[in-house]
Amino acid sequence: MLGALLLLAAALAQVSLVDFQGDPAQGEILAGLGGCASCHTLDDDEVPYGGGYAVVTDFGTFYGSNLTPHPEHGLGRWTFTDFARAMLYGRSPAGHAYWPAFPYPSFTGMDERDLAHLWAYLQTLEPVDRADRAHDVGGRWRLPFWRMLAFRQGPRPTPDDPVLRRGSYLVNHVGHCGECHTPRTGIGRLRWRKHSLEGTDEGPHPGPSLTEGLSDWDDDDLDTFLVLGMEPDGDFAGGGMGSIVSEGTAKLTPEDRAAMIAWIRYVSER
Amino acid sequence: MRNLTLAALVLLAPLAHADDNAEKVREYRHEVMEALGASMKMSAMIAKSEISRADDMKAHANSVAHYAKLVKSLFPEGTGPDKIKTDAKPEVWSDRAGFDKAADAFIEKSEAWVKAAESGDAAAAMQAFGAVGKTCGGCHDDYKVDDDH
Repeated sequence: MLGALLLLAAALAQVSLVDFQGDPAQGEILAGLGGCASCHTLDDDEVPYGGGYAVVTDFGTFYGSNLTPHPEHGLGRWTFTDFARAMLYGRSPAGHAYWPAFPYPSFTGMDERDLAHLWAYLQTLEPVDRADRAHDVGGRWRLPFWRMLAFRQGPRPTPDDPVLRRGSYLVNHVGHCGECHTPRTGIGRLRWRKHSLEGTDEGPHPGPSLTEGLSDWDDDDLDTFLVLGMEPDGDFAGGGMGSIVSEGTAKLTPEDRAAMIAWIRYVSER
Repeated sequence: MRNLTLAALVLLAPLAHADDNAEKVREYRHEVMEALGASMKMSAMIAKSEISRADDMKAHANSVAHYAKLVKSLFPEGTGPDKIKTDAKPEVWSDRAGFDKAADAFIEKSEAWVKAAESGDAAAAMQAFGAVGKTCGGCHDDYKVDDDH
């Protein structure tokens, strides 16, 4: 236990040592790819990231938090280290564990520079004066056990290939595609080792299969989808996926989209 | 007498319309959706520079904007999944206000696309095209059975 704490402390020290100025424009693209706004913005809000959106799950109802730099109700008093700790280890500045409705089990593989970009972007947001709503969920005592059973810190293993590594990074960690497109166990752990991206009908935002489901899409169809949100039959992605495309994947470089596609293909074929 | 018959015919015409065969209504609206899909696909080819027919964007935008105005009338009572086999969800009728709002968003975005396409600003046209696509998908999310599942 002490060893783990020391490791954590060392890792955090490393994070805080990064002397790197994030670029808000890069951060905005990362936030778009992560679809952060979809859970951290109320549908009718004019100003984004004020929190309050309800994520209704079998485990309870979770409310997206206020990510704006508001000093009372947002992240105005957070440091970059606080932010990195939340994203990589799923802990609040006070050290409390977060429920995994906040997908830190995916973000845990994120690169510190990208976190710095995201953090820089969050600083540019208009502060929203709205207090976070308490999650409507019981049994907080389960959380440490859940973390022990289901939370694996750091990037997921990939083959030693730069394109696949990049693809896994974008799909699994920044994009956390699996949070909607990968089936879960009874306790809500993603079954990414053997059933990654196989699709699910369960959860608040059930995502279709990207393995079987895309077998008759060629790579060009997939790229068209990631640029325009259009499927081969002329239909379009709407809702959450539509925004991930228009705010995220459409703004990536062609190389990054190709890497995402390569990873999806790799997962489908392995 | 003849005038009376004519008047009766005119009066009865809307009823005849309401009695349109539900299956034919479904078939007709399916064809409208296919036509919309075709316009969107052609536009996507242009948007992705697979073909150098940028000027055609105006025609596709106009065609989509015209069809968009038909959408609300293509889902009369009696043409839902309780009566016939259709991918339209019951919510089209049970949440009519929401459906009409989604259809209005489609009209609004397609008209914005026409304006952008006719302005000659290629980037604006592309963005407006994408916004139209999102209204297609947004409405289908809530009111159409997803055939991917």
